[in-house]
Amino acid sequence: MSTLATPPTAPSSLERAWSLAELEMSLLWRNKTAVVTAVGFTPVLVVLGVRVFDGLAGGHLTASLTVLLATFTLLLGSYYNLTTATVARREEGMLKRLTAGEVSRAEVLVAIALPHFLLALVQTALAFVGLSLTVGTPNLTYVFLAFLAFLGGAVMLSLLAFATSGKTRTVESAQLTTMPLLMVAPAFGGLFFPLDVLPDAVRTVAELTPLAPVVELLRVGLGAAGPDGTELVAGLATTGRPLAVLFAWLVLAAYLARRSTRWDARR
Amino acid sequence: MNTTAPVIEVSGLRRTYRGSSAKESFEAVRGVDLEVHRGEVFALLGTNGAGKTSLLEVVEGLASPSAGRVRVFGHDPVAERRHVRPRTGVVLQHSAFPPDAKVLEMARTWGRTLSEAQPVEEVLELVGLAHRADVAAGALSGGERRRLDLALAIMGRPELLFLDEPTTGLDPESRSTTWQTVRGLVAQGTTVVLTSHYLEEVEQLADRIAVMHAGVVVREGTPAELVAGQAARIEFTLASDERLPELRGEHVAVRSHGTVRHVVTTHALEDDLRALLAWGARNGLSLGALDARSASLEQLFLDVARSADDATVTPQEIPA
Repeated sequence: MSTLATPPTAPSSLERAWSLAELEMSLLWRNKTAVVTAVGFTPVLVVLGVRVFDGLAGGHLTASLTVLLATFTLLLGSYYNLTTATVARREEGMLKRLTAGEVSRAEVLVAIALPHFLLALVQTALAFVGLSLTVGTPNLTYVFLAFLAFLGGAVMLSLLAFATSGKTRTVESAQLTTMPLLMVAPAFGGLFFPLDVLPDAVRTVAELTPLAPVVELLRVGLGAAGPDGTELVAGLATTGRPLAVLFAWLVLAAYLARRSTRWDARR
Repeated sequence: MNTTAPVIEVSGLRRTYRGSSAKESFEAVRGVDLEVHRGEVFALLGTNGAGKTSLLEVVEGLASPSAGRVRVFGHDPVAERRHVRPRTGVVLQHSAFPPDAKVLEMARTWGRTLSEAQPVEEVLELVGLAHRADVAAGALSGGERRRLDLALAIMGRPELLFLDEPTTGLDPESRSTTWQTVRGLVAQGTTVVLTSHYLEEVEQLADRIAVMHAGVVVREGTPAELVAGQAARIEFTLASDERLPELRGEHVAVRSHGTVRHVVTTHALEDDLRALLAWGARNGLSLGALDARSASLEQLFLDVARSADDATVTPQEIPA
């Protein structure tokens, strides 16, 4: 009975974070609104995507739809839901309570972020498999780039979620504070239209928005078609720039999270 | 007195909350020196806003001091938290749990983050929550939530336990369960640092007390030392106007509802009480609603709060 409670040796940092993450996952699972939203969201996006990517078919369509899904599940999970969850944990006093024990702040943040990341990953993976079987299999030569983009995007958005939570007073006001990123990032991320159609100056700026490098790398990684219908794989050499932009955003997001995350409830 | 190194050493500690402008900045702790020794029960008293929680958070390692030095078991509680945290337990003034998390689930999760955890069921039993193991935290009463908090704090068998108002808002039964648990830990040698608004409880439990006001410690000593300088009170009513005998203390009389209420504040409780009783017996007078009480911590507390309103408080330390 007590084997669960008395580990033979002190738990590692990873084990502590995982213990908390397991609790967070159970709590997320019990939050039916979040689960239903997450599950119902996927088919809606697929239907929407099929209309947007009118001229695409087969593997190219699968790739473009997966990029769309990956980006939106991350935005919804690792940004919006995570911001809300962090504010809720802070306001109920749980965040501070956790850091009064052996768990470090970083471990707490990892634990809160992990369930949202895993949910987005599972959603995207399931959709990808489903689409591959029904619509067509894309060219996955550089699939590691897609993983890198997904993971990097999740970490960046999670850090931005922590930073946003620090500027959010209540769970309800998270709907407002998350708005800027939720509106701007997808619009200028190259999700619905290729950034090439934008005037040069606007395009340069758009390429620097947080989701742009994630979308670009996902597209290359999943073998999506370029704006002219050609394979993007040939353009692997051009991934240096989005990788650099993503890295810069990771650094900036880490800085913002460190500076803005609040641990104390506002009283 | 105690030859071993103190468990907690605090010197010149200051804590400032930075506002967006210099005007909004607020110094909650303004130079505190403290030592807490192994096995001691140390109580921090003070009015709301005196700086108790702000001070505790720094000692607990939840915040860094703006100035000064803190050592817990000889370590910096922030920079060397790895050496400190496995040995401390904390009950914060405010904390709660995700409403959907069940008691046992919450306790098990916490236990798995500790270096050395007592069996979860035993701890829940100890704080009187075993029968509520499957209840969601959101459905617990305030007292039960506080006891769950205590369960988490003691689960790692801490050598040093911080309790920030552990019984505020609890019903008498919950309070009693909480103090019973704490007494058991103290008996096993746990060092306890606590704050509470229940002065009688503090008086019974604490070995040493520091009274804080406006960010500084204004009095420090054992409960006996602290109340030693305070006056005792005798109160009673008489049916008619009578001239009291010569007393050593000060005397005030107030007429109300046809009787006269007398209050004597004195440093010679026994002498004055004996004189009054003898005088009453001699004159065939009954001292109605007679109440005689020794100097109390409560009186000291009120005096500190009042003198502080008079702006200047001179820090004073009673040598141990």
